[in-house]
Amino acid sequence: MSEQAIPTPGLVTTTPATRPRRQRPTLVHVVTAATLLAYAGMLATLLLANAAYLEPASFIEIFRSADLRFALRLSLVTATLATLLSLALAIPVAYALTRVRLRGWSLLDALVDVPMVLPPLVMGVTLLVFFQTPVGRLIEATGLRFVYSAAGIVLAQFLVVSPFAIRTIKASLDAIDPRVEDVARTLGYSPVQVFCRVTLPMMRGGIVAGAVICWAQAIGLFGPLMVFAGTTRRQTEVLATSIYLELSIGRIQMALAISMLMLAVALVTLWCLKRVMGPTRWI
Amino acid sequence: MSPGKALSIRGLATAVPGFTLRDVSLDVPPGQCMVVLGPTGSGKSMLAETICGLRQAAAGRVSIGDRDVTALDPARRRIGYVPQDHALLPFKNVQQNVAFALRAQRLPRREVQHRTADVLKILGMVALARRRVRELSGGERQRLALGRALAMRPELLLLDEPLASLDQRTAEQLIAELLRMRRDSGITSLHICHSLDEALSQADHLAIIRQGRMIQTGPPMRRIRRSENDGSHTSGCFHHCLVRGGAPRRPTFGSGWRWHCAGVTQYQCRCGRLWDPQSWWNKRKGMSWHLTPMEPQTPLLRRDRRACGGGSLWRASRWRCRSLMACTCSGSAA
Repeated sequence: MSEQAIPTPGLVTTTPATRPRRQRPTLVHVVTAATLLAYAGMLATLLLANAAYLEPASFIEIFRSADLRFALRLSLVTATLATLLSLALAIPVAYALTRVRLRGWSLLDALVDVPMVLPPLVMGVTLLVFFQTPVGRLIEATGLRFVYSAAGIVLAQFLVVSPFAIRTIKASLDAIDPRVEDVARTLGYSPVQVFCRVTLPMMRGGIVAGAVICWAQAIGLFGPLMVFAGTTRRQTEVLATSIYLELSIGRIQMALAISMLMLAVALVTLWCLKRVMGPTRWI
Repeated sequence: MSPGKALSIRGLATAVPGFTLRDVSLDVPPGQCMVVLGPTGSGKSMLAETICGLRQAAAGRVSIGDRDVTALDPARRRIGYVPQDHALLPFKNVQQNVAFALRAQRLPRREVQHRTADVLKILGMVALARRRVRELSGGERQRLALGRALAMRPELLLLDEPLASLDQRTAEQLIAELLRMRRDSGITSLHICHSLDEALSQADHLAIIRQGRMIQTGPPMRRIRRSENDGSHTSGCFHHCLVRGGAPRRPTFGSGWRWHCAGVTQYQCRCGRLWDPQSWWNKRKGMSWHLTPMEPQTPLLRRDRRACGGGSLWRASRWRCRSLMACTCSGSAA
C-alpha cells in the first residue's frame, strides 16, 4: 500500500498520518484522567460486587415465578404505552415550542419542564390528591379507574417521562434549518405536507432517541407508582415494585436478580441510544 | 422550459421588530436578470422572502407576468427559490432531492423519473445521483439546489446569495453555470448578493439596497458611477472597484472609491473572467472598464516589472485577490 503511494513533493511525513501526535500530558490532563478513572472504577466495583453476590439460580427463579412473570410483562406493556403516549404528546408540543412564536411562549417552555425537575414521588402524591377532587372523582366515575390500577401506572409514567421526550425532540427540531421547510413550501407543498414529508423525517433521530429515553425512564420508575398505583401483587406490580416487595420480605437474592435484569435492560437501552444518536448528524 | 415572465414589484413593504423594508419597486423584463446589491443587514434576504411569500408583505404588490401573486401561498407562486445555505433535504440523496421538487406538482411517476434524469444530466450530476447530501461538496450542494429550483420549471428564479458560502473558484464555476442555465432556460431571475464582482458578472439590471430602501435601480454601469458620487458603495461590503481606461495612474489608497487606470485596450484575464469585459463594456460605453479587486487599506495592485508586449502587468499583491481579477495588460494604450 505504502509503496504504491505517490510521493508528494514538499510534504514529508516521518510518522504515519493515522497515528495522532503524542501530546505531553499536562497537569489538567493528569487530574481529569485520574477523576475519570476513579469514577469508572467506582462504577465497576459496584457492579462487580453485585455480580459476585448474585446466585445464578435466582435468575431462573424470576422466570419461574408467576408473580414476577406478571411484573415483567406489566412493566414492558406499561412502559411501552407510556412511551407511545409521550411521543404523541411530545411531537406536537415540541413543534409548537420551536416554531410558534407568541408573547409569553417562553413561560410555557419553562412550564413544560416542570415535571422534569419535580421529584417523581411528588408527582405521585399530586395525582393521588387530584383524583380525590371533584374533577378527579368525575373522571373515575366514567369507568376509567386510575387510582391503584394498571391505567394509573401508565398515567404516572407518562407524566413523569414525557418532558424527556419533549426536550429530546425539541433539541432535534432546533437543529433543523427552518429554511429547508421554507424551500419545500416554495416548491409547492402545503404546510401539512411540509410537516409530514420534511419536518417529521428530519426529526426522526430525535423521536427515536426520545422514545428510548422515555422507555428506560418508565421501566425504572417506582416512587409515584408506589404512592398512586400501589404495590399489589399481580395487579399493579412492575419490576421496580417487585424489587421493593422482595426486599421487604427479605429475599435479597431475588431483589438483586431483578435489579440485574433491569440493569441489562438499561445497558441495552444505552447501546440503542448510542446507535441512534450516532448517525443523526445530517451535514 | 417555460419562457420568462416579467417580474414587477410595486411599493413592497414588510417589517420585523427593529427593521423595516419599505417602498421597494422593481421591474425585471422577461428573461433578464436583476441583481439586488447591498451590504449585510440591508434587507436583501427579507426582500427575497417577501417575494416568494415566506414573509407577509405589509404593503405593495408583487406580480409575475400578469399574475398578481402578492396574496398567494408560497406553494402557488411558482418561484424557484435558492437560499444561501442550499437547504437540501439531508435525508434524501441527490436524485430524491430533485424528484422531491417534482412530486409537489403531482406528476405521474414516470414523468418525475424522466424529468429528474434530465435535470441531473443538465447539472452534470448523473454519477452522483445516489450520493447523500452530506457527501457532496459545497459547490455540488449549491448546484443541486439550483437544479432543484429549476426542476419545477418556475416562472421566476430567486437566488439569495447563492455563492456566499463557496470559495472563489467554486463560485466562479457556479457563476458560469448560472449564466448557462439562465441562457438555456430563458428564465427571469432576481439575484441577491453583496459582492459587486458577482453582481456585475450576472446583471442585466442592478438595484442597490441599503437599510431597507431601494436607493438605485437601472443598468449596471451608470448605477455604480452614481453610487461613486454619493458614496453609497462605501459600506465596507464592496471589495472591488472599477478600473477605468485612460492614462495610467497609481492606485490611490484612501477611503471610498478607488480606481486606477490600466490604460489598455487589450487584456486578458488571468483567472478567466466569466464574461468578456471588453465587449461588455464597449457595448455600453465605448470605453474599456473592467473590474479589479480592492480591499480597504490593502495595496492591491502593483506594477510588475515584467512588462508584457509594451504594456504593463498589474497584479494583485495579496493572495486573497489572486482569484479575482488580476489582469495582464498587453497592447497599446487607448
